Amino acid sequence: MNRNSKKAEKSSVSPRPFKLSHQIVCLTGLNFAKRSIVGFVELHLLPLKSDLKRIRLNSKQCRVYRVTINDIWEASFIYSDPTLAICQNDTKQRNLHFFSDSHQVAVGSVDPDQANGELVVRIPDDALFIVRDQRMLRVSIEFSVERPQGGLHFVIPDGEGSFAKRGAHMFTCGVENASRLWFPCVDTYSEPCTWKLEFTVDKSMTAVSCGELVDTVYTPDLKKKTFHYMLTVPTAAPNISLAVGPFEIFVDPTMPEVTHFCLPGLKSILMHSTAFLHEAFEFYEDTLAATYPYSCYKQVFVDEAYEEYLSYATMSILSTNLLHSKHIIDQTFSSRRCMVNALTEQYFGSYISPNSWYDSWLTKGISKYLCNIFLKKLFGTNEYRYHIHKDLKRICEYEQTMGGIILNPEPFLDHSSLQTEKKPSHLYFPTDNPHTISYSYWKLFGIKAHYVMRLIEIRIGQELLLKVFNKLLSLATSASQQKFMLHSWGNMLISTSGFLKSLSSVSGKDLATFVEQWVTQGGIAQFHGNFHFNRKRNVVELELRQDPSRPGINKYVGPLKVTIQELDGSFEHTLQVEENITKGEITCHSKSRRHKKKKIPLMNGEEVDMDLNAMDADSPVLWIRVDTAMTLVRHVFFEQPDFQWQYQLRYERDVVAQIEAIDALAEFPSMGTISALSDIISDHKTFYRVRTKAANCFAKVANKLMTTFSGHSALITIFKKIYGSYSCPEIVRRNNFSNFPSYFLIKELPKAMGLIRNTHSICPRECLNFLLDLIKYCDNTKNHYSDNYYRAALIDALTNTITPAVSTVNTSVDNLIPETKLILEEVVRCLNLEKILPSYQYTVTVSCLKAIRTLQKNGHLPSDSTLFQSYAQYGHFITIREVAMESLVDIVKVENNGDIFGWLLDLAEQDPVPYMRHKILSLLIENPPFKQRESSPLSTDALVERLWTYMNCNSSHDCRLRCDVVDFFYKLYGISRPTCLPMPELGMVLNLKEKKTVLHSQVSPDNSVVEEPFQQESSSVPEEVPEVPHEERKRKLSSPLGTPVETKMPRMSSDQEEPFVDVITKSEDERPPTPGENLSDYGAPPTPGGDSIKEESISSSPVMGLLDDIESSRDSFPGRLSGMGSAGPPDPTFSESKPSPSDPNLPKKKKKNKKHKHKQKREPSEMS
Amino acid sequence: MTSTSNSKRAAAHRRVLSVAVAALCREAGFDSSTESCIETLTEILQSYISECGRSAKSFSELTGRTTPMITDVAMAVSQMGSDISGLREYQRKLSRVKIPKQESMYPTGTPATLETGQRRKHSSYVPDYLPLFPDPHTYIKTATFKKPENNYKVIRTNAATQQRSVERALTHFIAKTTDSQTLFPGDSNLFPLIACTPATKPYLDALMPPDHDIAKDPPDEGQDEQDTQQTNSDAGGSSGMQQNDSDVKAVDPNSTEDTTEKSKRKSDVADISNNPFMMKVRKPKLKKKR
Repeated sequence: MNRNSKKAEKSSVSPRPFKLSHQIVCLTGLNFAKRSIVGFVELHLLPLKSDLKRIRLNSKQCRVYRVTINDIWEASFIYSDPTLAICQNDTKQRNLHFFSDSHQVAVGSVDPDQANGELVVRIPDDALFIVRDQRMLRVSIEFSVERPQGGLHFVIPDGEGSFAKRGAHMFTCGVENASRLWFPCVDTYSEPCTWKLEFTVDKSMTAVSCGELVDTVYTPDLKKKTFHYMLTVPTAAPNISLAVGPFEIFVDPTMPEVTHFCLPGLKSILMHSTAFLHEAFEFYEDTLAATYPYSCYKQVFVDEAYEEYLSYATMSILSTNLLHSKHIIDQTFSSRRCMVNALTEQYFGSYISPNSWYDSWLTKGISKYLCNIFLKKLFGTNEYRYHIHKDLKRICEYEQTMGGIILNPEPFLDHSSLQTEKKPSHLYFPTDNPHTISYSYWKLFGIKAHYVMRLIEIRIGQELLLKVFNKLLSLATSASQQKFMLHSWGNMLISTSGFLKSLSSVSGKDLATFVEQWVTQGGIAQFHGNFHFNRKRNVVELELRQDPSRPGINKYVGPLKVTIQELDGSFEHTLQVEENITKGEITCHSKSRRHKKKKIPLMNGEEVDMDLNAMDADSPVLWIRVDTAMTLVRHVFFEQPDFQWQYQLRYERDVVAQIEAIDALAEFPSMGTISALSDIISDHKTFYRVRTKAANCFAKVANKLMTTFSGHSALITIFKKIYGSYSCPEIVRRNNFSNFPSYFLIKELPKAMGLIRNTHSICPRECLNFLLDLIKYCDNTKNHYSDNYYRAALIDALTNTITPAVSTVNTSVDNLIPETKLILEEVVRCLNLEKILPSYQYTVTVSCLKAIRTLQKNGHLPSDSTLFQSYAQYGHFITIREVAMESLVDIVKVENNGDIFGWLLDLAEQDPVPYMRHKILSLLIENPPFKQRESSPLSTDALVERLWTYMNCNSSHDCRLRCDVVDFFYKLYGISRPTCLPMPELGMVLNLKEKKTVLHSQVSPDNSVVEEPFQQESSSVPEEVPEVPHEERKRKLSSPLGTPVETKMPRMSSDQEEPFVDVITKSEDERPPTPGENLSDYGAPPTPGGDSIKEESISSSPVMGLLDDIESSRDSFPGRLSGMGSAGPPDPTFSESKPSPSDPNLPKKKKKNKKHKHKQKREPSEMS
Repeated sequence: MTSTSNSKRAAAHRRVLSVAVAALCREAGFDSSTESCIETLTEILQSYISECGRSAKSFSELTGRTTPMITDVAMAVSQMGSDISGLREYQRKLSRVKIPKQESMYPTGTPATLETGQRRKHSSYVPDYLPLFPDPHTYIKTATFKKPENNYKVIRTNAATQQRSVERALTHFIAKTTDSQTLFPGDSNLFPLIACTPATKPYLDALMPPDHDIAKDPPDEGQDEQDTQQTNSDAGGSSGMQQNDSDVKAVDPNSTEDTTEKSKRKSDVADISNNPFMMKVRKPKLKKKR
């Protein structure tokens, strides 16, 4: 305990030279017509250093008008945002290597955790005495944001009437710390403070924000009202949010502290969707033995949401599409998951926030873990295990293709010591900042964090783990009540080392090796196993092989549990894995003879009769499983004969085992498999997901046996048996979905039927007729639930039956084969009917559009994009738009259609819904029109330029989008310079460090270098071409009235530096700078933070370290040039524009070269 | 039948009247007249006489009789402004035209009723004086249509077919009459799709679709099933190896609804009004200045 709190204090040593104690955000003008906000913030800062001269704050896309200190002194300020354009100084570099490099530097240069920020406020000399006295500084900043491109989203539907009538609303959004996009703040989780929030909005609107609503007051003209919120719990700026709209308010009837908000007209479904939430509150109160940390909780459901849910202090912003009526089944599961997860993030995420980005795996992991234990109670253990297994599979898949996900790259044992030289060389994006990582990585990061948290639970037990959480919460609670001891607020933050110490002090177990294996290291364990039964010795000889040389695979050393189900029962054995090949000999407990017919005990104590005829007469082994309880991040291939898999499927009671058996049985087409699968499908006691999976596998297996077995009639028989009406089984019973397992199965069985093929590899006609009959006889009048998902599933089943057209000479109505005509008729009817009688979330339309695309793709219909383009427009429901985009992306890929590709990219750049922009890019990433090293007519100069511009400077306000573009660029071109580009002017690069000349990688035909994501980068990575003339930087000079505050000037190069220094000195010496002119005078600031800090941050980052070679060669250019006395335009030295990334081990000598430049620069920005 | 006899009689009266009119005209010195003129005068005369009769009947009723007497007629005529005294003189006048006596009509007997079928004879215990049974067809029910089949299969088939044809006709109609899209560019007659139009608030329709074909009250029997499932999975859950029969733990909308319903009743109104969002917005103090 003692140790722990000390640790917490230690970790709370702020990287910033000040401490934030309180902040006021006051938005006085919120204009929907102009999509703008106007207001001011006031930060109460306590200087920690007596020589504090500059305050660095975060602010993006805000126009800052005026900064005053303690209401008395006007302060001059500089606003520069290097993330506006990542690689600004260079016009020719077009490789991701360079980009991610610059991206990291740019993001790092405004990272508040490195004491940086976009907005630099200089404390006037007159006010310096306050700093010296270490008294409170009040920094007020007046600002406005107009037409925000990120961080804030305005939804303004067209129509008549006032904005409130039209349902216009706005809300904040963004990835991780994005609050800087709408008000100046210290945008990091590690700087909690108390808040006063005031929002003046139209009187028809409601402003929902963090904290407690203390007062609502009309403005004197009675046209607007002001909402006053107080947040007395110290909270970090990224957890502050706002939603304004004409919301309908629903106070939770069970817990009046909880309020739900939705858009007008949706209150009835809001009431239903949120009715369960109080159960979650009660559950967590019991489980964590702690009350909900805040005094209130608000859920706001908004349209065009950025994510399905975003959790902030005391409130969460959720997508309105999560709402559902009581007739909807499927959506309920995911909606509840989202709402519960948003709630758990209140505890871990908002209330307890991560100390740094490296610690965010804890908040993500813990909140997801808590969410899942509630869902386990709500939806059952099978569902929980199924999800864990799915998560595990996703992690394995991702890590094997993309490389390991490292939850926390810092070695936790020596936290404060120097960074190790670990470099995740496999990724093309820096992982040191949430703003630079790819979206899929971010998602998987959360999943893995949860999985690892679950592993900790297995290691120490749930009770103890909950005790740790309780301890963290109670520490935070006591800290939050300390109003004046700002330093104790450090307990509101969670750090990896503190958490691990708590773990070991509570449990008494040492988790060091565990953490090393799964937290500070990426990658998974992979086992290929097989076994042989030795009859003489009655021993199972087990062999497990690992192959750590493969990407994303780590060698696992430690215990591994193997479970063998024998005739006499289930036995667990622990193997010690040490080498790449582990051999184990396990003596069987039972004799092989099955002379006496008796029941076989299973793992859970149940005893069953089995038909043992299929098994090997000599062996008592029924099946073997490796790591049954999923205690590792592992991927297991285990070889067993088919009958063992069949036994496992039939008799093992663990859903994971059943699913694994089904996956394996797809490779064993035999009648035995068929009968095992069909038994499982018909067995109503089996978990429904196993049954649906079995149905799918059945279709696969039946297709392999098509010559001897007619799969469709078997499936149809099963279907008739379960769902046929009593008097005539060929007609399906009227829908009755009150039995959910049966409902989920009836949705899946038709899809499986659609997959069945006959010997001509088309779907049998009987099968198609049966499906058409199902559609025809679908009757929902006596059902209490909506059948929209079922009808959509039936259309999907029809889609599954589609096979490529025989002749694709010309596609017209006359050439349609009768089967296609039937399908088309149904699809058209359903699609048209949806226009008149829409279904929930337009599920049927979505399926119909998919069907049309499949028909087009298989040559039954003329491929035509206009239909999808019309459905992809803004104004359609989001699911429809998504599926239309998906089809368009597919058309682009199949037909290399440049026009549509351009159209999609236009949309990706300009769509009004940020989620849609992200979605288009995600779809393109999933299904790229061409891949690395593929030649394609679409791969053009212009495309490279377009994407480059987009990620370089047009997506700066939405980092998710920027990372999406990077992902897409990577998918298309890999990490090196696109091959379609003309060669750069200079193909030769001098590498002074190695004293040799290398051919530029693009020039050299040898492409083997960079392309492979896992290959260690060598020094011949495409390098800088220093002679490239630099683009004249466009400096946006602000008028005295201070119009654009965003200067596009990220990094200084030497020539600009001198005037800057001059100005600074001048302004300090002679005249007090006025707020309007500071920009025009100052231009861009130096790299914020100064070089000394820079160097540290660079070397600390794993990716950068990798580039040492390149960087150092870059460094040497200025020296070389000056040595040669090169005349001509002053060469912008990279050592300046890119803060020297030189390895700390390198001799200081090199730095000396540039010392004269640094000196001047350091002076004004001296921070430490 | 009566209507035809009535009209016949009316026609006869009218004929006599027109003859009388014509005679009066001749007496008055007219040689000839148009048909319509006679017709009009007849009309006037007819209404005059009708009015006279009606008035006479009123007089008689006034004096408490049902049949008018000559005095009543005299009263009626004189009330209508005619002098009755000249009537006797006119009767004696020799030059007046004699109207020939009209042929009298012969009454027609009621036609014989058409007998269909055999009338049932009275049973032995029914006295003869009671009327006979009516024709059998007036009380015996004979089906005039084929009996419908109420076999489950046929009903389902018919219902489905009917619904489909309605849907198809409706969608086809709308597709033909409004904007449409086609799957076959240039060949737009077949498989027309109703054009999609962007909406201003697409989420409204999508999230609250018309529940046209959903039964109204949610089922109750799901509840018990739920409870048994719950206990099953709780038993098996802790060991990590579960009973497979726990299946999906259903999200039953009712269970939560019931509880909320109960709690709604429990929690009083004051609770909700304590919520800051429900509180009245305060009027500003006039001097308030930030």
